[in-house]
Order: sequence, then C-alpha cells, then structure tokens
Amino acid sequence: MLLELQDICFRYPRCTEILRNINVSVEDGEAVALMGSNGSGKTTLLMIAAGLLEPEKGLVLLEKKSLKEQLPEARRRIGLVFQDPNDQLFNATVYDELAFALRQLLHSNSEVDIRVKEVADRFGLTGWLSKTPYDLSMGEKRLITLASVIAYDPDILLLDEPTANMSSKVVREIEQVVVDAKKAGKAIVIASHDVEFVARTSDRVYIIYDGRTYGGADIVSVLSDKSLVDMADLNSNMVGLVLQWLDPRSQNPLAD
Amino acid sequence: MKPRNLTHRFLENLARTVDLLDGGVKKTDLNPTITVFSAFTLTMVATLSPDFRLQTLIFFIGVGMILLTHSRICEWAKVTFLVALWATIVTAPAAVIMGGETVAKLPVGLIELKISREGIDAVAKLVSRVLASTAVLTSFTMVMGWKEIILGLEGLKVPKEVTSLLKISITNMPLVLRDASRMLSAREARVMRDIKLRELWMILSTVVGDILVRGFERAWRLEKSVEARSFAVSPKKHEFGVVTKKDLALLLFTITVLAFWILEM
Repeated sequence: MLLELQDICFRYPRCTEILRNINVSVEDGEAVALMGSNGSGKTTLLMIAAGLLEPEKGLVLLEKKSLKEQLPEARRRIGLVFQDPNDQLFNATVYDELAFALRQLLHSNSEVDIRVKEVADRFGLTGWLSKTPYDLSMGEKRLITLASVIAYDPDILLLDEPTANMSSKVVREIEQVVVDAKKAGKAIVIASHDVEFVARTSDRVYIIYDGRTYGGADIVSVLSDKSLVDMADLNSNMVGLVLQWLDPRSQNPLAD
Repeated sequence: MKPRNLTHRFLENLARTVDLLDGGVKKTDLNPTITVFSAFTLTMVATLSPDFRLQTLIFFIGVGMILLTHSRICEWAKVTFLVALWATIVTAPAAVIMGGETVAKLPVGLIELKISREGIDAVAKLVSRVLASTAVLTSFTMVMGWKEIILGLEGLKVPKEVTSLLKISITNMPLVLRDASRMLSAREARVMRDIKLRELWMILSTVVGDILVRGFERAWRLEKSVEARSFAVSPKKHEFGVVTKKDLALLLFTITVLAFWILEM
C-alpha cells in the first residue's frame, strides 16, 4: 500500500468533528475517487493526506511509515492540486510557477529550464511561460496547476475537484494526465462530484458521508447501491447514464 | 472598459501600478545586486544628509536613470512631485512654529503668524530630502521592476523568507485590490434606489470585513500551497550575475557619494 489513511479524525478549531475514523488506501498504479456532498470533508482529507493538516487521531502512512516522520522531504513524492487554482498559484509568471519545485530539486538553472519547457510543451503552455497566471482563464489556470505538480514527478497525485467548472476540452486533458500517471505506476486520489470523470479514471470509489468512509469498491458496485448514491448526493441521471455505459445489464438504483 | 467611480478607478489604478512594476518593465542589463545596493545607499544619503548639493546631485541621478533607460518620465514625475507636495503640506507649519528671525507676518483672523527664517530653512531642508530620496528610489524601482529588486535583495543576502514573502505579496496585491473592487460592485448592484450617502457608505464599508476574512482565508491556502511544494532541500546558491562597465561606474559613483557624506559628518 503506497498511501494509507487509518482511522483519521479531524476537526477545525471551534467546529464539530468533520472526519471520524476515515480509512482510505491507494496503491501504485491505482486511482481512487473520494465522493461526497459539499462540506463532507474531501478537501480536508486530501490536505491530511498531503501532510498539510495534522489529524487529531489516526495515522497517515506512506509506504507503511508515518508520513509525519518523513516530512518535509516526503512532499516531493506527493503532488496536491488545489480545488481553486487561484489558491495554488503564487508566482509572478507561468514559468516561475512550473519552476518553483524544480528549483529546489535540480542543481542548475539549465536543468530547470529544460524540464519546465518539457512540461510546458506537454500541457500546451509554451506560449504562456512569460505571462502572469492570474490573467489567464480558469481552464488555463487549472492546466498550470497540474503542470506545476507533474513537473517534479511525484509518486502520488492528489486532485481536488479537478474538473469543477472546466470545459470538456480541459476535462479531457485532465483525464489524459490521470491515465498517463496510472500507466506510469503513480497512485492517484481524486476528490470529485463528476460521476463521468470518476467512472473514466478511477478504479475504486469511496463515499464520504457524515465524516465516515463507505464503499471502497469498484465504481459499478458503488453506483449500483442506492444508499451510497444517496449519501454522496450524486446526480441521478448521470449515475444512470454512467452505469449504462459501464455495464449495460445494470439497473439505475435511482430510477423510479 | 473604464471603471465607473472614483473608488473603482483608484483601486484599479493601484492594481495597475503594481502590475506595471511587475511585468511592464523593460529588461535592463544592470546587475541587480549592485543596482539595489546603489538605490538603497543613495536613498539613505539623500534622506540623512543635510547638504543641499548632495541632495541635488542625487535628484539628478534619478532623472538621469529615467532618461538613460527611456522609462516613463511622466509617471516618475507624478510620484516624485506628489510626494514632495505632500511633504510640503505636512511640514509647512514648521515655518511658523519655529522661533527665530521673522521674515514675514501672516495675519489669520485675530492672530498674526510669524514666519521665521529658521522655520523656512527647516521646511526647505525636509522637502529637499524627501524630493531627492523619492526621486532616486522611484527611478531605480521603475528601471528595475519588482523582480530585479528581489533578485538584488537576494544578492545582498536578505533572508530568503523575507524575499519570498515580498514576491508573494507583490503578486497578490493586484488580486486583493481587484477583489475589493468586485466586492464593491456586488454591493452596488444590490442598491436598488437612491439612498443617502451615509446609508450607502454603511453598505459599502462592510467590504472591509470581507476583505479581511477573504485575505485571511487566501493567505492560509497560499501558505499550504507553498508548503505542499517545499521540500526542505538546501537552497541553491544565489548567482551574482554578470558585472558590466555600467555596473562598475554606478558602484563607483555610489561609493563616492557615500564617502562625501561620511566625510561631511
């Protein structure tokens, strides 16, 4: 197991407990989705998995060793893409954004330059390198946030609502990133509401409801279970369509 | 599109100024470390030296930098003379407060204000200091831009934490200002009838609270974003960069001015 979250409990100061005994695991070459209604704690869980928040109780294990004890060096193995690109971008130019992590890891400016251009080329960002990220569209910003993480080649990708407010072209590009990462043996955790995207990319699905995890099985099993679909507050029409596409013999649990 | 009212125009212009110094500066071939050292030294000498000749010399260095680099002289003049005007307004009372040889009498209602020679001297000295230091600092800032200034600070061994914070603040300043402008618009959009200025002010002033809350939240997320990509690897050594004849001339000139000031003391 590459990344494992065991019995995680968490609360923000002066708030009720948002996560209660959460258990999630992901292996190399596997994509796992976290689904749940707004405010269910998906983003918080990703931040805990990235070592940015410390749980009240429970353990985050990276290759069976405590993540906390491996920080901050372990961060180079984990890439977190934030839900709102504006929260993630903080450099003056797209080039600096892509080079931020590389400047810490690579020795010379020429090495950084080569890698930045490589990644920019892959994401179609070459023409924007000297631009300010804030002046670009939301879809372009999303690609920059993904590219800035892919640039340092982490073993684990944590994607927080990667397809929210994105056009279908950007969604396809994000999908391709996930597929390529899986092929390269990376572990991926996706927090999302997008049933279609999850169905196309994820091997297993966890539902977070009332601070606890449910499911953890393949997408057809999870979407076929009415109680799980209700817990995750998913779009019933989309669930039906996706189930039909995945398994024509299956029945939409939400159909009248 | 032109912003509608004065507040929006002010916020937008402020954001544009920060943007301009961030990306709108022409690339110069000056060494950032030497240039920042010169900028700070000359500003310090202009601020602390009582010698009018030294201040005039430094003022003209500022003008020279702007002319030689073909920077926008109008923008430079606006900043410099606005600051000088403000300094004059603030220090003007010193002319009547300070005692000494009376050069003029100014009747104001029932009282008569006596303007002293010493008072005028003090005002002139203070304004000339402000004018010279603003002129030189503004010109160097306009010539270099934020990025080069930060590079220069790194070259001067200013702690990495300070320069990183500066970088992030400079990038985020226009965003916060534009956010504020949008928040004001959102409030204005819901004012459906003519209301009294006081009432309008009470509605619009709630934007301050929102800016603080959003600023805090954004700062928290930015901190997490920086943390997520910080691996505690020992930082690379700063590259000093190429030193040209222009840099050497600037450095020599700065050292000469500094030496004059020290000898004068």
